Amino acid sequence: MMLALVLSVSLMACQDSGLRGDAAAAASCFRQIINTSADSAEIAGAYAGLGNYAAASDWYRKALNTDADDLAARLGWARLFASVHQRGDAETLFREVLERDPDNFAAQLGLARLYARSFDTAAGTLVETLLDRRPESPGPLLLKAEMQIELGQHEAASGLLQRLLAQADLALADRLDALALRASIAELNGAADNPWLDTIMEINPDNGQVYATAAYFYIITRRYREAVALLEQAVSRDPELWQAHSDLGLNLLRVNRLADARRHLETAYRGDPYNPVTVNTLRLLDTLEGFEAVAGERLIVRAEADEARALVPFVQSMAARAAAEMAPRYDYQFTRPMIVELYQHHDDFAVRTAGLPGIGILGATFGDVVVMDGPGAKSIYEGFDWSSALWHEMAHVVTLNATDNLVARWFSEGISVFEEWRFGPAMRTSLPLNFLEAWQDGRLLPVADLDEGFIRPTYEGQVMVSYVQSGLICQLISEQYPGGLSRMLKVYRDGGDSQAAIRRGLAVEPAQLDESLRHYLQQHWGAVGAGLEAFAELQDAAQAALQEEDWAQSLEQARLAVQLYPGYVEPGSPYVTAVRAAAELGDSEQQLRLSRAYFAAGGRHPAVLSELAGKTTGEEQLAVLNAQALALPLQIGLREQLARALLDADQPAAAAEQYRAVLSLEPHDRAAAHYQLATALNATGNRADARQQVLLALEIAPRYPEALSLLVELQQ
Amino acid sequence: MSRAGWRSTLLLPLLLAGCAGACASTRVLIVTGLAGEAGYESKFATESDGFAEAFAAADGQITQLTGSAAQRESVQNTLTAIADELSAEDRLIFIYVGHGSYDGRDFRFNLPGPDMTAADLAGWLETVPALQLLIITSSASGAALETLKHERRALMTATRSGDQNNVTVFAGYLLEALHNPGADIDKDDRLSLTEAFDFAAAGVAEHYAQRRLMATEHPQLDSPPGTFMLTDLEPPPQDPALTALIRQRDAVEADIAVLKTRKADMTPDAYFNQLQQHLLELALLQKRLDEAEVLP
Repeated sequence: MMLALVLSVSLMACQDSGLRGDAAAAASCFRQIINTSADSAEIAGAYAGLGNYAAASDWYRKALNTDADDLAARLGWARLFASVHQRGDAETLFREVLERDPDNFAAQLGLARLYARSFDTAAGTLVETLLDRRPESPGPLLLKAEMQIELGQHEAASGLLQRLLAQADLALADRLDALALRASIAELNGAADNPWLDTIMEINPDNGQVYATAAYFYIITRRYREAVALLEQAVSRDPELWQAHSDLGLNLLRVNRLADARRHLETAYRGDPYNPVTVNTLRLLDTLEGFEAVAGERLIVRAEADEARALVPFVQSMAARAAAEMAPRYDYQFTRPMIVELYQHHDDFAVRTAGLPGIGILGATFGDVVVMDGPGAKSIYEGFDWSSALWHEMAHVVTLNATDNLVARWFSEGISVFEEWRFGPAMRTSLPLNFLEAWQDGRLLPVADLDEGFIRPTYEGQVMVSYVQSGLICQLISEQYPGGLSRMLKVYRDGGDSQAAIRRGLAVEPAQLDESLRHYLQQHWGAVGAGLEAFAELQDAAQAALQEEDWAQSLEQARLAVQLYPGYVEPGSPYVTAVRAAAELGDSEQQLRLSRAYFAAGGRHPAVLSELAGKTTGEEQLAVLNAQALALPLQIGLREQLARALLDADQPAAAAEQYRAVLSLEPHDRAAAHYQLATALNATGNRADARQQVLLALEIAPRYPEALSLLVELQQ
Repeated sequence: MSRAGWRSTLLLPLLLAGCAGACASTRVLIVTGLAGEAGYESKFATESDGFAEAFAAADGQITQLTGSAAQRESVQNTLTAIADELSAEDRLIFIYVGHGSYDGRDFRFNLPGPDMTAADLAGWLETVPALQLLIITSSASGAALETLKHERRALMTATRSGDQNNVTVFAGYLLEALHNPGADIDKDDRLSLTEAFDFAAAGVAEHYAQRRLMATEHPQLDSPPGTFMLTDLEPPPQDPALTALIRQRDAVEADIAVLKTRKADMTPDAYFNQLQQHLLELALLQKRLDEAEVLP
């Protein structure tokens, strides 16, 4: 959307020349104002029109130094800050205007725009307030239409825009914005004709902004390939659309076109060095150059060099399972390699995802490209199970590609959550307590509105609640409507919305599905829901007793809590308390029983698993060690333990993989790691590689007796 | 002892290399400071006993001062007695387990009764003629480094400065190094001071990294050349035939060391083939040494 930088009639006239494609006339007009105007704010606006933001800022400051109550100058300065990505300063200035004039319409509109860009629900409330005051005002109408398009409410948005375009005295900038939004709706709906686009082109054949506007809606609905195509058109028509270059760069990264991305980001930086997304993403590209890429036919893994080889065996195994088991569940087949990028630093992941640090999510999928925090960024100690998260993201690759990115957010998330629960590495269905509370309080959204729980949450924790609700709906569909998930994906792929997907895929009305969910929850979680308060009290009591080292009391309370909610293995699970208390009491039988139940429910607390691995044998022990190594894949000791167990279980090839991972993690005792790898390779019959590894061991430690023996054996 | 048996008896021969008759003797003094809380009392006792057990198995003469016996005066008296017993060829290993603190001037060992300072200890150790190894596993122990630095003394501390004043985990990892064959990087059945320290320091770093905690201790090793290294504690063989075998083995190892310096100039095949030849020769020599049940 165009950000109006100008206020006066003269400035608007200059701007209109630019909007009609006559950049020279616009520049000349702005310069004329600079040379002749006595109004500092107007001069500032003219500098802003010329793209000289530093001078514009100086003149706004000068205007306010002269008259602190010059609201037009303060508003202009606020808009200038908004246009150069300084949201905080813009908000401060808008608020300063409102302190002086609480009903200032333009300041409220400015704030609403800022809120809308950060998906703050306050935007909607503010827009409605503004429209109550001035129902036909273009600014709030445009903003409301934009928000409606974001939510897929195309018909409602079209109605608003029609009303706006019917206004005879509509300013050119507003007209172009309205036409661009209307053209975007046509584009999103795949309309063969786009008369709104034609009108814009009649006004200015070099208008690139309309393409950038439409691209924005593709981006927020994760249709990155379509967004890239439009942004390429945008910058080809108007090479000075720096924001479009930046957006193009970011989205080229999402479709794995790294070199093209850098080119456009560098162009964006030359034109607009203030854009933090551009700067951060360029820095990230430098970081990515230090990544190691491990490429296969079906999978490319990119990670920091010291992690890549340690994680690859796990990622490869999951990718193979996704292709063989997950994709067929949804009638999908991988046709291109999946790309998995794992970040050691959360801020790098955040920049990769959104161009800015500080986002709350831990993983994201762009078509074939999965980017996420790796186990080096966040660990199981912090409640982050990276392998379950990876399985979740792999499911997005399936659902996004199976629908050409047309799947609704809630449904894609729902399938991913369901996949985690039913088929993921941990296979746990541990509903978080805030979901159960939201359900008990009647705060779950109808399925038809479930996307709003992700895009514009209205209470704290609603995004997480929406994830779980979506997962439960998909689980219900998989159980009660065989083939229903795949049929719904097909409806999305053919352009249907969620209501159509439910009606055609399941042959029920959305409201009936909501009703089914209510029954399903009651049937499976009713007892847990009813005992939620008691569960929380027991959990607290068990924890308090543990602190006081009253082990018997702690065990008793924790066991009662486990009985109330046996599937709860989230951080703070009463299983962990009970296991610890049983261990302190020396009750190893109870400790083992509880540990087994916890592990079977998908619990992955390292201390519990470590004890369990020590108390089990054979296949059971191998399963625990595998889960431990997967949960903490960068812990050398765990990988070594797993490798040894695999060798004992006569799985030397798998053991060799683990030993290779150990070596990549730079162990203290490299000679031993090379030797162990050699023994595993020798056991697979690969004597040549075994010789190489044993020589590497002996190169470090020539007297290493076991390695010398193996070398002699290999020589014979 | 046969080489195959070293995993069970690892540590002690490595550190103290038992030596009868005219060999230099080694005295070990382990001081356990005040715990303050029950949790720390058990931690410090476990660590102190761990060190005592490790060194006792190698015929080390151990003195453990714990509880009320670990007062400043007791430490001074014990060191005075030790000073009279040891000569310049002998060795003293002093280990402190407990809390430590730094007031900006002195490092303090937190003992029952008046604290002992690093300066106190440095003064008493002046009278001990033996080579010395000091292991201070407490918080803030880095503050003792400068005061205790000496040309005949190796120093190991849990922290790099007096500002690192949280309870440390270093002692646990050092004990692990003493028992874990993986600490012996070059697999020569001898644990050098550096090998033990590197293993423990890596363990400390991983401890904090895995828990996503800011590391509040950075272990330090000050081991001046010419002072005793644990690897130097090995007794020379008495049998001339064995001495000859060991010389041959040393010569092959020297050849390997030279070959390694030429690695970058050789093709991988040529390098590894030559390396293999040397190693097979070494294997043969080692077999003969093992058959003679010698642990060189």
